[in-house]
Parts: sequence; structure tokens; C-alpha cells
Amino acid sequence: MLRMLGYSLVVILITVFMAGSLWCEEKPKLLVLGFDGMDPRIAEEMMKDGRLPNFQRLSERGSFSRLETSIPPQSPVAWSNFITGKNPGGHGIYDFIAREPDTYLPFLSTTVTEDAGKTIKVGKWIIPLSKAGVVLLRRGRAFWEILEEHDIPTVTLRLPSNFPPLGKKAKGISGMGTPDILGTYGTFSFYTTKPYVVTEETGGKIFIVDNFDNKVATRIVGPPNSFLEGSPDAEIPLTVYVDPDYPAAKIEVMDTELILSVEEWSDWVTLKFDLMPFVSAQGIVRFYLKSVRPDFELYMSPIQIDPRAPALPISTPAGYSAEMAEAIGPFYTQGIAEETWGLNEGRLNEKEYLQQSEFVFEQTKKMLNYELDRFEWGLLYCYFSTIDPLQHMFWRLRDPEHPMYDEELVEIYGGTIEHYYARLDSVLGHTMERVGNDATVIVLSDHGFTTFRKNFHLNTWLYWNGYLALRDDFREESDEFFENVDWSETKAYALGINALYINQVGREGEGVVAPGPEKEHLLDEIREKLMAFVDPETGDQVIAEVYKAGDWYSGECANEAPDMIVGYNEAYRGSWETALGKVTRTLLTDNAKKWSGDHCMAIHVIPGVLFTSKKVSHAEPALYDLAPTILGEFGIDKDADMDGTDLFQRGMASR
Amino acid sequence: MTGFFTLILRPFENGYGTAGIVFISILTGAVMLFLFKLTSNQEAMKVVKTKISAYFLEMRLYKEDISAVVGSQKSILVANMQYMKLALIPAAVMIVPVILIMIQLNLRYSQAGLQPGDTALVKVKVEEEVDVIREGITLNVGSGLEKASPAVRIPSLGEADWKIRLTEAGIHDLTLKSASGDVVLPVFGNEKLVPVFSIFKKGSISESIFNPGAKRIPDAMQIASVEIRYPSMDFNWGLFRLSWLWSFLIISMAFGFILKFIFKVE
Repeated sequence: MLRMLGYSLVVILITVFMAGSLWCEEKPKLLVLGFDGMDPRIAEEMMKDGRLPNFQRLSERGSFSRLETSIPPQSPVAWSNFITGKNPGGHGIYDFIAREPDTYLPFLSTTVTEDAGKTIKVGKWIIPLSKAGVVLLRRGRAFWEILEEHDIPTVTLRLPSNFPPLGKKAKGISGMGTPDILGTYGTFSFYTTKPYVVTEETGGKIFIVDNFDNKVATRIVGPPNSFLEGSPDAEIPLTVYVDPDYPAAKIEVMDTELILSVEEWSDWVTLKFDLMPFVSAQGIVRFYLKSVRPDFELYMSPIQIDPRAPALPISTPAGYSAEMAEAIGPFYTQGIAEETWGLNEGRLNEKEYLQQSEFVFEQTKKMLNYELDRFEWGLLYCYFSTIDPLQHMFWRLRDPEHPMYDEELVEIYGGTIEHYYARLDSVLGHTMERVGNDATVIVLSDHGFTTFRKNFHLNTWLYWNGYLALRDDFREESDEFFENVDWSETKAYALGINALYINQVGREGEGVVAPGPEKEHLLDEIREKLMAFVDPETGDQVIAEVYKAGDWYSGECANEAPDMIVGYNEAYRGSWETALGKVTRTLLTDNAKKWSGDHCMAIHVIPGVLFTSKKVSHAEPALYDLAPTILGEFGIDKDADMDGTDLFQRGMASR
Repeated sequence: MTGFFTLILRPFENGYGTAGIVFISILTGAVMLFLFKLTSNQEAMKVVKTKISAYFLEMRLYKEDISAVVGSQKSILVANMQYMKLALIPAAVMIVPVILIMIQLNLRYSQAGLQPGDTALVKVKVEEEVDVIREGITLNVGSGLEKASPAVRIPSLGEADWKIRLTEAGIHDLTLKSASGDVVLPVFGNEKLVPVFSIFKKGSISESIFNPGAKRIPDAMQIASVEIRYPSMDFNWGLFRLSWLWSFLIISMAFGFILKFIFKVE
């Protein structure tokens, strides 16, 4: 009897143990780190030199390969491929900006703001009767929407192309694409006594102020107040007192008083813009006191949506951003938080840019650590932006042939890009240690990087080759948004960094090219000529590949695609002027901006990286393979309309 | 008074602020109830309350008779006034200890001491018509603190400001020197929930009442006040955060209300 009891006990214990083991096996941990812009060539070189030991370790444990990026290789497009497992034809994001075919006017491709439908006027106030909102334009299901259907705990930190963030149970904080409180991708304010000619520049506003008796009285311009007729900008008074002798000032804004020395950043300052009684929009900013004498210069960061009281949805669940802020303090919520425009426009120098960039980097680490502390199973994704904007701004110091190469700066900042690759290696090492060997680890970048020495003015090329016509030919140029373009004679036009459109009958407002053979013939002709174009100065081919939409895009949004994507060769890129629909008088110009590295090239020029702790069976992994791979880790089949395949399943047929 | 509160709140000093505020609020609720009972005419209050109930009953019974309803409402109003009159003396007696308690709680729970690495604004105001630059005020810090900025002197406001940073926990000295004298003031940089004196003025009766225990600025000095800005503090009650004042008022009133039934206080 006792023996029987003993056997039964052993059987029960084994059963419980096995069930426990199975339970553990059914609780996979997947950590995904997105390192925007990490370039495989730099990574390979540094791994060879032993400067990325943790990446090396991960690649030895699993695999390392180049990762095919999206067409075009722009971050919103690339991360949308990652999120949906589809090509852009499936999710509908083709560029940072898209165009209204009727008017040829651009709009931001990822989100649209919908005004309140009906309003009522009470005195000076306009009261909305229905809710206004922001709508994400990316189509297709995000992989975490599928995971949450299967009750897989999911956290996505600062994932790009996810504003407003999707999901119900899944925790997430939106990343690239999240605007500042003005609704822009980041508008800094620069207060100065220097008499600048311009008051508006890319990414910022200049406020010319008076320093009267060591007091500067000015204002902070906030969001348009749609509760008032004409939507005037909401404002907050800003007063700065400068010491008569010492290099310091006191800033007074609302009930905050703070002291800043010259060349010092402030902590976060909360701003509350009163829109109407009991309604306000709350933001946070950081100040940087650049100089007090001889000229007063104060930089104010773009006004971030306050994560503690977000004016727009920036997290799922809605309270998650406040939970994060409670844990790590207020944080940058703007999509690309690094102050690239401040550096590009000369309002900040390299040192100041790096100080701010470091702050963003540390903030992301804190976010990751906060979630690592509670990561038991499921998916944890964290996005690090740092090296993407860094490479945009500092590539000139790696490339002696770049027009903005500066030996003095090379002495100081020459190794900055590699320094941050090594910092990411430390993040990886720390994170791998925290999650343990049971977790699957994936590290990826959306694209690589290369030098950007020359601007190619695509609209100018189209004009010079007879595909685009001007109303006033004598001017030989057009201002932005095709101000001088004669649509009745124009066959093709460019908008955005890589997109080229045919002025198609029945689609464009004043289309002249019939769809079908006429259009196809025109596309082939333009493609052939573009591919043949060489830089007269160097003899180099400017355009490495031109992708016809019909050959590369499929899915429910394929009909919204640009007709062709221009893939530039190394060192060349579509100009900023082209992106806004300008026609210039020159075709190729030197890139004289600090924005000196880029990735809006042909996809083979700038592949991304993929490091995994498991062996990848696929010879040529692509970004859209990641969503099916993530789902596969949790035993979930991919959606039928996903283009990618599970990279960890051996013997899978290629796409 | 400050010493007494320090003694009774000592068990909560080491990070148990929420428990401290709950304890003191409950204690206050109970003491106030006791004081109310002691100083009020309970019999008269009982009569008035009974009358109010009766008038309500009258309203319900004669709801068809408008003149009776209006008469009852008038009587309820009069009875309420009588109740308030009866409550006036106990309220006047209670307000003194309540204010004293609130002053003590404000010292302990409105601002948190600095953490190492934290910075704070030091704001010095000079007497009217004194030139802040000629007064030549300088700030010196002892160990545990560092000056994080040069002075910002604002003659139009009669003000000089500095930023200081705590480098190690503890209560540290900050010395202000000027043409008219010197003063040493404490900077609180500890995790203990002890009184955090943030405003320093010259000695006066109102200062003794409302800022008890704070160091005084010597009368001979031309400095009118010194303020050290500490981080504000609030209490996490799970779903929401409240300042000490709201926490105290809600808990003490709620507890007083519950005890009123137990001790049968009108």
C-alpha cells in the first residue's frame, strides 16, 4: 500500500515537473533592439577590431547578416515594413511626405489631423461638439496587435511610425512620427539680440529680442488655439534676467524660476498653454543658455508633449506614458528628439548637439531598464535613435571628400560615430545579461548609412529634359510646391526625397499622360535616362537604380505609390529643394550643410544589420521578415497578406 | 511645538510619510471631535437637529400644501442658522490647534529635502531701496554642497539668485555674506521627513507663528529674506496624488465623521 502511495507520489511529482517545464517552455522571451541607421560596414570593421565584443558574441551565438531595407530606405517606410511584415504597397507609407494628386500639394505621410466636425460659437470661444483627433495613416496590422490577441505581453518603446500608437493591452510609447506640441516634427525657438535677417528656418523659429537693462521680455509661442476664431497661437510670457557682470541668467516662465550659466542646459520646464477656461495644453521644454554677452542667445527645445499629461495620445494604454514619467522622470516625446535642425542651422554647435543627444540616449536606456526590471516573458522592443541623427550630422568628419569636411573638428569629433556604436554595444551587453540566455535576442537597423556629398535636383533634371514645364520660362526655376510649374505641359514631377510621379490623366488634378502604354513608355524612358546620368565633375553614376512601382509594390495600397522611386548612388541624394517641389537653376550642387550622411539611396547601397541569437535560415533577410519571425517565436502564424517569412524556420521556401 | 511634532512623527521620519500623514490626520480628527464635544452645547445641538428632522418630515407629510412646505423650508433654514451659531464657538476654539498642526505639517510634508545631485534655487531679497550690487552679497557653501552657478543679481527686483547642488546627503551650511553682515542657513539634503525650512526672514511675531524653528536673519543685515526652493512633495494614493493639505483635510474629516457616530457627538 505504502509502495503504491510512493509510486503515485513520484508519478504526480514527475507530472507536475513536466507540466512546469512545459509551462516555462510556453513562456518565451523575445527582446528586440532597433538601432536606427546602424551600418553593417562600420559594424563589421569595428567587430573585426574587437571594438564591438557584444555584437560579436551575439553573432557567434546566432548570426549576423545584412538586412534588406525598404524601397525607399527612409525610416517611416522601413519601420512600417518591420511593423506590418509588408512591402509599402501593403502599408501605404512611401516617404516622409506624400502628395494630394488633385492639388500636387504635400502632406505628412504618416498621420492626419482631423478637426472636430461640428462646432458652436459661444462669445469669443468656438466649442467643438465632436472630438478632433489624429489618425495614423499606416495600414496593415501591427505585429503586436496580433500578439495581444494571443495574450502575449508586449512592450514597444519609441517604435517609429506608430503615432498615434496602436494597441489595447500592449504597452507602447510612440516614437518617430510623434509631433511636438505645435504639431510639427520639432520646431525649436531661438531668442537672440542678434539682428538676423530670417525669423523662420528649417526646424526652428528665431525671435529677435531686446536686452533692456539686463532684462529680456519675450514670449513662448505655443500651439494654435482652435477654440478661438482664427486659431491664434497660444502664448506664455518668458522673462530672462541677465546678471550685469557674470555669465548667468535667471529664466522666469509661469511659476518656474531657474538659473542657468552660459553653456548650460536646463532641466525640464513645464509649460501650460491656456486655451479656454478649464482647457489647456501641457508641454515640456529644456532651455540652453548659449550666450549673454555681447549678444544674448537662448535656445529652447521644441515643446514636447508632456508624458505626464499628454495633449495627444502618445502611449498605450493612455496612462503608460505617465507611468514611465513617474519612473524615469519627464522625457522627450517628440519622434526624432535629437536637435539635428539646431545643429544644421548653426543654432547649436557640435558639443551642444552631443550633450543633448547624450541626454536622449540616456533617457532611452532608462526606459529600457525600467521595462527590463519587469520583463518576465513576451516581447520587449526598444528603439534607439541616437546613431541615425548622429551619422546624418557627423558623417562629414569621416569623409575627407565631403564639402563640409573640417580637420579641426575631425580632431575633436572624428571618432564620435564609432564611440556611439561602442555605446550601443554596451547597451546590448548589459541587456543580454539582464534577459539571460533563455531569451531570444534580435538586433536590427532599418538601413545603413553613407556619405551625402552632392544634391541632385530631380525636378530640375525633369525640367531640363522636357518632362516638366514652367509657366514663366524666363525665371528658369520654381519656388516650393511647384509654384511656377505649368501642369498642362508637365509629364512628370518629383516630391519627397525619392519619389517621382507621372502627371497622370484621371489621377492628378491636371494630368496629361494617359495610363497604360503611354505611361509605361514614359516611365521606361525616364528610368533609362536617369540611370545613364553621370556627374560631369567626377564621371560617377548619380543614380544607381530606379524602381518602378509596378515591379516592387503589391498590396491594398499599391495604387497610392509614387510611380517610381529613385535610388541614388553613394554620395548623392535627392535635394531638400526637390523634396518640397522646387525647381532650381542648377542640377547638382555641393552639400554645404552639416546634414552630411544619409540613407535615401538605392537599397543595395545602404543595407541594415540583423543580429540574432538564433541561426537565420534565410540567405537574404529583409525588414518585412521580422514581423513573421516575431510572431513565429510565440508560435503564431503570420497573417496571410504579410510578405515576409519566419527567418528562424529552417528549410522555409524563399519569398 | 516643533519639538513636540518632531517627537510624535519620529516613527514616520524614515520614508513613511504617507503613514505619518494618515496618523496625524486620524489623531487630529479624534482630537478635534473631542474638542468639539467639549466646547459645544450638545443638548442644544441635539434639539436643533431634531427640529430639522421634524421639519423635513413635515415637508414630506404636507407636500400637497404649498404654504406648509414653504413654512417648513423657512424653519429648516432658521434651524440651520441656529446650528451654525452653536458651532461657532467650538469652531473658533478648534481653529487655533488646527492651524498650528497645519503649520507643522506644511514644514514637513510640503517640500522634500534635496537628493544628492539635485539643484535648488537660492533667492535672496534685499530690503527696499538697498542696491543689491552695492550690498555685495556673496554665497559660500560648506562640504556637501556646491555652487552650481554664479550669482544673478537683479537690481530692479532687489534680488540676487544662485543655483546650488547637493553633493552628499545631510544638513549642510550655506553662508551669505554682505556689507551689512553674515548669516549661516541650513540646506536640507536628507531623506528623513524632518522640518524643511525654506524661507528665512528677520524675527517677528508672525514669523514665530508661521515659520517656527526657522533660523532668523540678523536685524542688522540689509537682507529681507532668503528662500531656498526645494522640490514640492505630494502623496501617492494609488489612483491619484494629493498634496499633504488635501490628504490631511480629507482623512481627518472622514475619520472625525466616523468617530462622531461612535462617540455620539452632535
